[in-house]
Amino acid sequence: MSRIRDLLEKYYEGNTLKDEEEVLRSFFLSDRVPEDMEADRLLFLAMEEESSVKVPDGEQFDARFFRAVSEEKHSAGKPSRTVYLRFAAIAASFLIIAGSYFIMVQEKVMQESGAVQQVYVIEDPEKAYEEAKNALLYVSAALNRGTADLQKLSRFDDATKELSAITKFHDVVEKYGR
Amino acid sequence: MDSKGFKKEVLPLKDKLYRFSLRLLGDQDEALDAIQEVFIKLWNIREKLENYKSVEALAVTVTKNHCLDRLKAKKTVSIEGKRFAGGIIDEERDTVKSTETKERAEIVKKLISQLPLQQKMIIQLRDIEGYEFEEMEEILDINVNTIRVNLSRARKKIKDQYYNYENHRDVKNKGFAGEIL
Repeated sequence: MSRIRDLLEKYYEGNTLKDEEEVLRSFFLSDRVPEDMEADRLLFLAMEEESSVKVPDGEQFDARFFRAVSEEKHSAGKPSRTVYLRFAAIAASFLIIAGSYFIMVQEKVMQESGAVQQVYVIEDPEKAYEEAKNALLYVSAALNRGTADLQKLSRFDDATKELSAITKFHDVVEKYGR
Repeated sequence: MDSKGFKKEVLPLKDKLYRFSLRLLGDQDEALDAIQEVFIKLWNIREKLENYKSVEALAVTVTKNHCLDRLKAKKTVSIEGKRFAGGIIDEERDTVKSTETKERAEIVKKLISQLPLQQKMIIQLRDIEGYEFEEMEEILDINVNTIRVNLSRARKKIKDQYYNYENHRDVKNKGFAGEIL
């Protein structure tokens, strides 16, 4: 009995080992606990009861968990960001290749037709000034017209919205990929 | 770790993790949600679980962090541990007339649930789940001396408060309650 009291003192100081706590536990869960140790007994009893608390519906837990994770995998239906980025990357490379090809061909055609070489020289400064002014006016008018056309760029936005239909394609690929 | 290994080694921790979340969150539904999310987190890193020295310690740590985040979000931490004098126990005092062991044990459980957060975790891991101090150091990220000090405080506090409660009630039963309360 005095061993128990010693251990109990150690216990309240936080100095007992696991084995010693086990000794205390089996003592306090027995029916030989003196009345003056009622509070200690209840402490051990409460701990014991708390340690047997279980997940409600525990038998179903594993099955439900595996169902949840497999559903999560499928309903990742909204393709992740990386999938979008991959599509965007492919589209961008296409544009760059097609664009460079187009520009190169265009340049070659122009060179061959001599369009680039059309240069003429004006000797009279007055006339040259007039010509330059006209040219600049033309450029400015063209520039205004050009910026007006830029408004049409907003249509590009609309078109990219349409492109989101590609995700459907992705879903189908995913589905048949399995 | 494949799903078979996960089922065999990780999912059986559910009761332990549930008790721990319940201790921290104090609500069954929230505790259940918490462990489901913890298991999903662990599932997502199942490939790496074998690299851990102890999957169990990892699981408890993840649970601890998850629940503490939840509590932070709810900001209920600050009012804990200061309520014995006028808290739940007081309300109980009138309704608990029987001195049956079971009901007295319930009082002790309530006292545990009113401990400050850290002491609650320490009591749970040591006295209820039976962890070694080394494991607790890893899970709680505090050193063994701090653990011992707080464990001692928590154990003493529960005992003292239980005596307080009993004395108050005895006095009340003898008819002096009016003078004391």
